[in-house]
Parts: sequence; C-alpha cells; structure tokens
Amino acid sequence: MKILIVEDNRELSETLVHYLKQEGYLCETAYNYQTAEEKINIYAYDVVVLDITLPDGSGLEILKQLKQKRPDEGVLIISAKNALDDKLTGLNLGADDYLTKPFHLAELNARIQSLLRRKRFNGSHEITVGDLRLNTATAQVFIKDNEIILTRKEYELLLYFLSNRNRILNKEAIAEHLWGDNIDMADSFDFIYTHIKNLRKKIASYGSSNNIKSVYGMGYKFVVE
Amino acid sequence: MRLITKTTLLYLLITAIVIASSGLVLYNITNNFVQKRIRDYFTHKETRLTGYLSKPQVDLDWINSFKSQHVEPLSNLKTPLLKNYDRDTIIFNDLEGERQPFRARTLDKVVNGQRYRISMYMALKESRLVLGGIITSLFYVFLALLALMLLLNYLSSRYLWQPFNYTLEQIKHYSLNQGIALAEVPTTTKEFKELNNLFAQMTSRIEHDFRNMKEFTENISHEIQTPLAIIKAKIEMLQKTEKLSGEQAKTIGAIYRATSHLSKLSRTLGLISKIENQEFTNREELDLKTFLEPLLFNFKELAELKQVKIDFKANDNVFITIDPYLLDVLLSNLIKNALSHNYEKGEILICLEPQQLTICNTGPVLDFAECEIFDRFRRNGHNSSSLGLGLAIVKKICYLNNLDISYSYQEPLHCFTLRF
Repeated sequence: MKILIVEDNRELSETLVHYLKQEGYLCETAYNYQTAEEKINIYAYDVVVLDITLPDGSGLEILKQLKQKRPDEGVLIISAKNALDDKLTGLNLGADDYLTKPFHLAELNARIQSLLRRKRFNGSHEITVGDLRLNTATAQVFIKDNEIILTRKEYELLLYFLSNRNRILNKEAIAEHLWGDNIDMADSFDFIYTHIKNLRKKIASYGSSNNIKSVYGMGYKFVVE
Repeated sequence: MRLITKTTLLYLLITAIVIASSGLVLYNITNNFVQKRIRDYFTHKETRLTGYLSKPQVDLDWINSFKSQHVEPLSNLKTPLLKNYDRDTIIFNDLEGERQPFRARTLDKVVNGQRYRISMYMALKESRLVLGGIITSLFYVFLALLALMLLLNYLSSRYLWQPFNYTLEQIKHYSLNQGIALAEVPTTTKEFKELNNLFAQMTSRIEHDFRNMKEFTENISHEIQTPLAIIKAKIEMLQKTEKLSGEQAKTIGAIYRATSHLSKLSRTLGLISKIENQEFTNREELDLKTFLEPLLFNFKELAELKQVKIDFKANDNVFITIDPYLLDVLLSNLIKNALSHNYEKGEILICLEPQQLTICNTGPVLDFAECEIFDRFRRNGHNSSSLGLGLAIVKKICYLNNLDISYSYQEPLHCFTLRF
C-alpha cells in the first residue's frame, strides 16, 4: 500500500510517516505544491493524505488534477481549517474523507483503512482478527461464526479497535471518534467505560479469547492472543 | 421632533416675539399720537370756549347746540373747582346712528366771576380703527410668515435634507460583514459633505480594525492546529512505546488531555467568531420534528448509558427558518447540556409546540446565578474538562437569528425554552 503525504510542516509529516510505516504502509512525502504536483503526475498511490493549505498553492488544485488523472485514488484531506465550506468543497471535488487538525493518529489510521476497504472494489469488506470477523458492508460481527448483536456505538467502537489492534487508544481519541464534538469530555469517559464494559462482556460471553484490555493510565487496546 | 420642525418653531417663536413687540411699539406710538391730538384738541376747544364765555353776551344754547361740547353754569358754591376729569364713555352718535366710544373731558372754570362746568367730547372711532388695523395687519403678516415657513420647511426637507436622509439610510443598512463600499452622496452642502466624509472614514477605520481582528482570530485558530497536531501525534507515539512507567503514562495522559482541550477550545472559539461574523447565511425553512428525530437518535445511546429517560412530545409541521448547520449546533448543544448536567437515571423532557420548543432536564441545582447560565466559561461544579462554551454558542445563535431563549428552574427541572 503506497501513501503520499502532502503536508508542508516537516515535523508533522515525519511523524505521520513514522506512524504509518509501523502500520505497514509505504510512505512518500511532498512538502509543497510543486513536489506534490510532480509526484501525483508520475506515480500512482493508493491513498493521498492532503493538506489544503500549502505554502505555494492550494491542495484543492492538487485534488482536481488527481481526480482527472486517476479518479479511483483515495484522497483524505487534512486541514487546520474547520470550515464547513472547505469540507464541502473538498468532498464535492471528490475527496473521500476530511479530517480536521489536530487529529488522532489512530483516527487517521482508521479512516485510511476504511477508505482502502471502500476502494478495493473486488476486495472483501471483512476484517478478520483471530476468531472475530467483522463485515463492514453489512455491519455484522461474528465470533466463531455466531453473530453477536451490538449497538451502533459498540459496533463503531469495535471497528475502531480492530483498525488499530495491538495499539493503545487513549480515551480522548475514542471519545472523539465516537461522538466528535458532540459531547463534553467529562461525561465521555464514563460513557466510554460503560461502552467498553458492555462490549467486553458480549465478546467474552461468546468465548473469544481476544478482547479489549485496559492499560493503566493510558487507555485501552485490543489484544489478539 | 425633527430638526426642521424645531427650527421652524424657534423661528416662529422669534417672529411672534418680534411682531408682538413691534405691534406694541406701533400701538404705543399711535396711541401717544392719538392722546396728544386729543389733549391738543381739548386745550384748543377750552381756549375757544373760554373765549365765547368771556364775551359779554353768553349764548349757552348756541354753545350747547354742538354735540361735542356742553357748558352749564354752576351756582357759586364753595366746592373746589373740578380739574380736568378725563374719561372714556359711550355716546349715541346720531350722524352715524350708532353708539360709539368718545373721550370726554369735564372741568370747572371761572369766567368773569361765573363758574361754568364745561364738558367736551371727542370721537375715538378713527383712532380705535387705526389701532385695530395695526394689530390685524401684523397678525396677517405673521400668518403669511407662517405659511412661508411651512413651505420652506417642506421644500428643504424635500430637497435640501435629501442627502442627509440618504446618508441616514446608508447608515441604517450598513453592515460590517458585507464589505459594500458606501455610495457617494450627491450634495453640495458643506455640512453633509463633511458628515459623509466622516462616516466613510469611520466605517473604513472600523472595517480595518474588524479585518485585523478577524484575521487574528482566524490565524490563531488556524495556525495553532498544526503544532497541536504535532504534539498530539508525538504523544501518541510515546504512548505506543509501552516502556513508560505508570507515573510517566499519567503525566503524558495529562499533557494529552490538555492539548485536546486547547484544540477544542480554539476550534469552538473559532466557531463562535464564525457565527458572529454571520458566515452561516444559508437560511432554510426546516421542519423541527424531522430535524430533531435523528439528533435524538444520536443521543439515545448516550442517554441509555446514563440511564436517562428521554421523553419526546412533538407537534407535526412546526417550522423554523434558520441555517441548518446552526440549528444542528444549537439543538445538539441544548440536548448535550440536558444530558451531561443530568443525574444517573434522570429524565429529559422535550416538548415541541408551535412557536416553542422546551427542553427540560433533572439535575443538580446551579451553583451560580441563573442569569449567568449563558455566559462563556460558566461551568457548574467547576467541571474543568467541559469547555463551558456550549450555552454561550446557543445564546449567540439565538441572538443573531432573532430567536428567544430563556432558562428557568422549576423544582426539579431545569428548563430551556426556545421561542421562534
């Protein structure tokens, strides 16, 4: 999987590369409009992570060119502007997703994965982790081929964990993933705790050995035995 | 009261005073003249009568045959002589066939040792007429001036004050955000030109400052996000190493939370300034019931976690005209608020009636004054992890869209009422 990261801030760009490499992606970077333009015209990528505000041009222009040349490449916009117009413009121009800075790396990772799942037309919509199988097309979860019934948020939570398995997810990232800005942090931690407790119970009741574990002082992670 | 009316009234007052005083002066002059004529006439008559009376043959009948004089001999009493006794009286004038005002003078005179009582009369009609004429003519002059003033008033408000009214109209419709340049007002009046120039200068100054502020807000809320993204990413990388002690993990968790708080804060403040700058103008007529249902569905699961019962009663066909994004922010914040300030196993009652939406919830009593509930950074119970901006946003949206929001506490419910 090849990813191009178009981001003018080197520090952030390097961090993203570092993180995504650990996730098993091949990453290339472009720090400005010119380089980005060259690279998208020469190489093909699976996903382009695109910052809209570049020092020498607009990321939206790159997006237009990209969509003309290779319409099935996935594009994920990252922008510091939480402007509704930008978001709509980006999505109308054919971007697949839109993340507002500052985002959680786990969130970026989950979005990239979901993007890739959607892009692979012939691929499966299934994620299999140990004895757990999750179908993203039908939003069903199976443990040892028995379907378990989850609430909508529990399903989203599990998908998030599976996208970032064996990684620690902190509560803020989980809260923001589940509810965006729709909830105050204070409450959200109690909610997360309750959600995770219920989800664990359900998974354990079907006899799966893989489950969510608490990591003291940090958050939670999905451990595959 | 309009300026033009005020000046007219002032002018009229001054004119009235001037005309009244000139009338008084004229009256006095005429009156003095008339009085003098009367005095001269009486003196002259007295001399003539004295002349007649001093003749050896006094023909009193002949003298008394004149209407304007009357002489009667008095017996030689020791009574003092009557001095000039002047008075106004009404006498029937048979020439004109009507009763008319006369000035009369009666005096006693001793001529050749004989006392006479002489009365003389003089018609006052003409002088009265003259005086009346003066007053009437002045009154007509005043009326003419009044008419002239009204005409001038009308003309000046119609033509002279036109540019001023035009400027007022511009000020009335002036809005900072629209960035519309002010139209040049065609006028040759120095004061209006000055007013327009000042107004133009003022607006350009305000616009300049406003742009600065706006840029600052945008820059700060925009430029802060990338460094925050780096901090967040780096912390996540640290957390992944798993070689941290519990203490370090806690510290890093705290840093992470503070960073999240900071980014949320700047984002929310950015949203508030966007709302203030009226960047959401996509007004549509929205059906509140169909708008609320998916929102409530989003919160349903959260409510269940807290075991809060949501009771939703709604009339059909209640419409509100507002930007859908703003309505979403507004209602989400209100419902979020009702949920997060609630007890475990509490209740939320949402009632949608025509022109009114009420959202009530159980929850702990406020530890601050009711009127402060919509203030920025006002949190109940010093809950430092909440931003304390939700209700401030609600208030702002309501204010800018002419909606009325009010809070009241009726044991055991906190109620927010939105009227539209």
